[in-house]
Amino acid sequence: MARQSHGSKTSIRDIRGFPSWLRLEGVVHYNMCVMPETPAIEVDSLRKTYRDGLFRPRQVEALRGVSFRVERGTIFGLLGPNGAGKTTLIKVLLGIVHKSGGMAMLMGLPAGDRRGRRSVGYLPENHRIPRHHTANSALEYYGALSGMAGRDIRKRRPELLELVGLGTWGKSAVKTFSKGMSQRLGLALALMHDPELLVLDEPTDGVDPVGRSEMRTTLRRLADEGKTIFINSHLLQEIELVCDRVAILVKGELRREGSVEVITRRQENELELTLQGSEQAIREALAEWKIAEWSAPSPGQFLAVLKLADQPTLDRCIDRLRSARIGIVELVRRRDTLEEAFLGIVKQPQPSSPFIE
Amino acid sequence: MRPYLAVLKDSFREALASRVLWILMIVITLILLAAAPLGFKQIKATQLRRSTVRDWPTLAAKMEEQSRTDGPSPGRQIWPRISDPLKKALADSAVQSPGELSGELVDQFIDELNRVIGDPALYDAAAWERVQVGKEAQGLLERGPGRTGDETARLNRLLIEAAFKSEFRKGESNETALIYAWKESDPLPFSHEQTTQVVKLFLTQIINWAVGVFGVFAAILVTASIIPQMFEPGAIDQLLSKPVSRTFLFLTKFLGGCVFIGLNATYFIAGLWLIAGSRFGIWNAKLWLCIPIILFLFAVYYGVSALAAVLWRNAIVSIVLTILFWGISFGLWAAKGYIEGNSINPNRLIKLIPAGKTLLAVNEIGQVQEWIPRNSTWENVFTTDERPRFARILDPRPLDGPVYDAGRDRILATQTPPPVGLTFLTPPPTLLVGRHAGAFNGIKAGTAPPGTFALFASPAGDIIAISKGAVFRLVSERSKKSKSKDPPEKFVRIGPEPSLRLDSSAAAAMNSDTGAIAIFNRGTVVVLATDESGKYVRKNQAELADVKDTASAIVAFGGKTIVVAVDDGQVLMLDADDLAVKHRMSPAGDTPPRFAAASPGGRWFSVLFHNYRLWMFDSQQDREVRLSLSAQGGISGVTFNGPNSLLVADRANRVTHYELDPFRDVEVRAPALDNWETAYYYGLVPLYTVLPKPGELGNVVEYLLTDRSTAIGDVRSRDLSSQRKIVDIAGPIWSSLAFLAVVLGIACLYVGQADF
Repeated sequence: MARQSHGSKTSIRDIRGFPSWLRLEGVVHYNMCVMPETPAIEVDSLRKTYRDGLFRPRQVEALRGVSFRVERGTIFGLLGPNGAGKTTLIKVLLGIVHKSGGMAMLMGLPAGDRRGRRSVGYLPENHRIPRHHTANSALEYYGALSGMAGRDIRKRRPELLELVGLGTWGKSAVKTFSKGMSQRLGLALALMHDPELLVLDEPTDGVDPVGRSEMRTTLRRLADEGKTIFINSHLLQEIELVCDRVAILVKGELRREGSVEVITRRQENELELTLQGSEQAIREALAEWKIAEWSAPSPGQFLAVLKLADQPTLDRCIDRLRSARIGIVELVRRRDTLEEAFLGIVKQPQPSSPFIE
Repeated sequence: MRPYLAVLKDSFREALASRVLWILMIVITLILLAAAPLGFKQIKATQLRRSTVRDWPTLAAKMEEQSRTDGPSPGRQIWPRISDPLKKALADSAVQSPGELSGELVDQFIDELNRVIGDPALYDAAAWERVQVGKEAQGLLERGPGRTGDETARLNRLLIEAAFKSEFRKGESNETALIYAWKESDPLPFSHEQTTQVVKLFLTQIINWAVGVFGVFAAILVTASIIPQMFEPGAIDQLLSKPVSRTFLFLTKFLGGCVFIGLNATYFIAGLWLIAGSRFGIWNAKLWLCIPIILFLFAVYYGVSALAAVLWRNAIVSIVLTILFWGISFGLWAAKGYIEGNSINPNRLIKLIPAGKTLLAVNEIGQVQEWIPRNSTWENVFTTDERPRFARILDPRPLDGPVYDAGRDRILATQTPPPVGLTFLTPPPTLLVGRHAGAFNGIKAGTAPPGTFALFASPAGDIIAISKGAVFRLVSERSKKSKSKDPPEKFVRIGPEPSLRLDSSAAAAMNSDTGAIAIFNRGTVVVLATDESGKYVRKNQAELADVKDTASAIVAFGGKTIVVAVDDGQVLMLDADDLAVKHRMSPAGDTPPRFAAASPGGRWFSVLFHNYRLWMFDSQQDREVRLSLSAQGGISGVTFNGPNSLLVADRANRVTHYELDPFRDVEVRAPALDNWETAYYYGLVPLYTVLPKPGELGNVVEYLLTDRSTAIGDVRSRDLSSQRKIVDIAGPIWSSLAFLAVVLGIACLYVGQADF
């Protein structure tokens, strides 16, 4: 299979039109992965309307024309508040829920196609393993459901349990498992048939911090192996730490989609300048621009925050400082945390109510 | 295939992990352990009982006959040992009521024979020289005088049985006692065959009630959660994300529930099979077929449970709806049974008697009714049974007849009164007469000869009665003193000689043109015709090939043809002159016949079977004819009221008059439906037809275990004309299968389309 280098430069530029000079090298994940011609997930104008009630039928629009694609070999995070339609989107992709309109493709096949599901491992939110199973028998059952032969199941079972930290729990009944252990087992079940795409719905729910860290490491390793991972979570920190790209879904609409650093970038380009020189000289050099913040972190050094519209303005500002012989100690682009970015996006006013009577 | 096998395997795993399975297994084990000590024990009989001999009058007559012949014979050894008063009483009875013995006489005869059996000097080698005795008797004979008292009695009993083999019931040389562990009952008053039949019926009841109702009910409770659990959020998502078909996933899960119950059913049936075989000697392999029947019954209810589970995804709702469905099915079955038992069946007309210008009919409970055209109703006439209706339904006393006496415009019938007190002595039948002028009010007009089983109006206008021994004519006792218009009448024997010696299952028919009588008795047909003096003599007699001597039959006689409809479903057309079989067919399979009739002139013959289907034969064309009768399957009575005219009763009390050639319907006599009938025909029957009939699957079990497609209340009764429960084998299976397919189809459709 052909391997090719693929960067995210083009995609970032295309999505929001951000200048390439603001790109922070090393933060964007340049994934060296297998890239067949089709993306792992592709949705376009995807709609899902639930109909409810017998006597007073009510329609609930869960997805309202969602479009995005997940390239193979990436870790993609789907964010959104409760009721945003995240789980519905996953269920549509897996054929658990039928779409009302638009297009949804999974591994190059229409969503719900049984062949597409062969290469998917799914960990549902609040997944429930029948209580009569042990960890081993559950792996055997779900492995067989994926079409695995008994010999392959028995071979793969111990290494998977080891991977998720349940190496010594194979013969234990799942009814004795804690929530965190169930989640780990759920991940093992999803990985059992070595799928190309992992769809994880709230994977770290109930898992302790150590477990989360281990899970992040595992996911990163899987992505490095070329797996595509689609994570649905409202734990923003997790997403921020592990995902290459994220999409934010609010009330059935896709508000943002892009790499984490793009999502967390502030709308106004705020630059934080640590300058060395006299206060008066600095202020004179920057007289043309409005100083948003001013402080003196150490003697002879001043921190000024400027809002600069574009690259020429920044160049002129630098030139002015350098001609005034003011030392530029540090120049940093100011950015939000993912949580701040998420909240900012979510709080934006809605064009319409998702509920249609 | 692998994923679906995994689901099935998971069902086993789930079953084995379930406490309920083990509880059920323990309960089943306890039941089987409780039943295991029960069994039969065969005892070598040394005494005679009523049930030992099939035909007591014939046995007595044969013994007496042999005693009068020259040379040694078993009869000559036995008869002299019978007391003189009993011999005299038997001789008197043979004259007064040939072919009949009162219960009292039979008991006396049994007591004396049992005394004779104990006599060590009974055996005489010359007397039994021509008798083929069995191995057991040979062994006892070889032992010589050293035999014990019991052995002597056993030997004598075997010798008597061997000498009069045809009068003894088969398999009666051994008696059966019931044992439970080490406790043993007295010998049962039934033959081994009858007792085996009772055990089979008991097994049927156990399977139908213990398993078919309570077992299935428990199974529904146990399995109701399997499918809702599958559809729980978190569980169904994981399953549906796998590369499997939703439909097959659901069906495999459904099958898994059936497998769970199959384990229990197999264990129980295997236990019953072992007990029935090892303890009762009933190694019935068909018992194993009850497993799929039980599973099928369960599947019908489980289908409803699964559909509810799919729609509501809640075990409680699923259980409640399944119980509701069971209640509706049971309620419909019970309501149908109640209405049929109290209204439809008792009112069903089974005999039609054209009586001059009016039409009379007899319903299932023996009530004679007259059609009143102005009101379009059937009105009760000839009522002689004053008991309340429910008593008449529970214990119907059928009439022989009535027949229409055209000469005196009256109807006559005989009715056997119930046994007197606790003696079980059957009094002679009562002769009932109802005159048209007196609105056919039934009046007791004396008694009919004992053992009368058929009554005819001859073409000469005589009333002819046939008893088990002879033919009688009803004659007036005109005396000089009596100047009454209606002098007393009595039956006078008019042949044949020697007496007939008919079995209790004999059947007779009169040729309405010639007055000749055809009688079927134990596989033999006898034709009686009148001689110059008006007495009946044997004209012809033939044993029918391929008809068992234990068979019952119905006979019709018209023209030169005799129709014999045998209880195994065979219909034989005989030439009345030489009794050669012209045709042999089984138009209704093995369904037994109920009534047969021949048209005046002998062109048309009809046989009505117990499945309410009418078969017709045209002797002119010499082929069977298929009339386009819409009532086929619901016909309860039929008669010819002319050479080309047929009356058919259907839908309980509707009578349609047809002309046969060319075929057309002439007149319909149908009373308005009452409330019960309206509810039955327009509510119950359509619903019952559409819904499955799990209750009727019990009939299939009964059929499998007893090999009977029809059932009668008394296992000893061989009267073909009495109403029999029709065991519809295929009907409930097909309707339940169709219902199950629809229910599962809807569930699959929903599972395939629904969002989870």
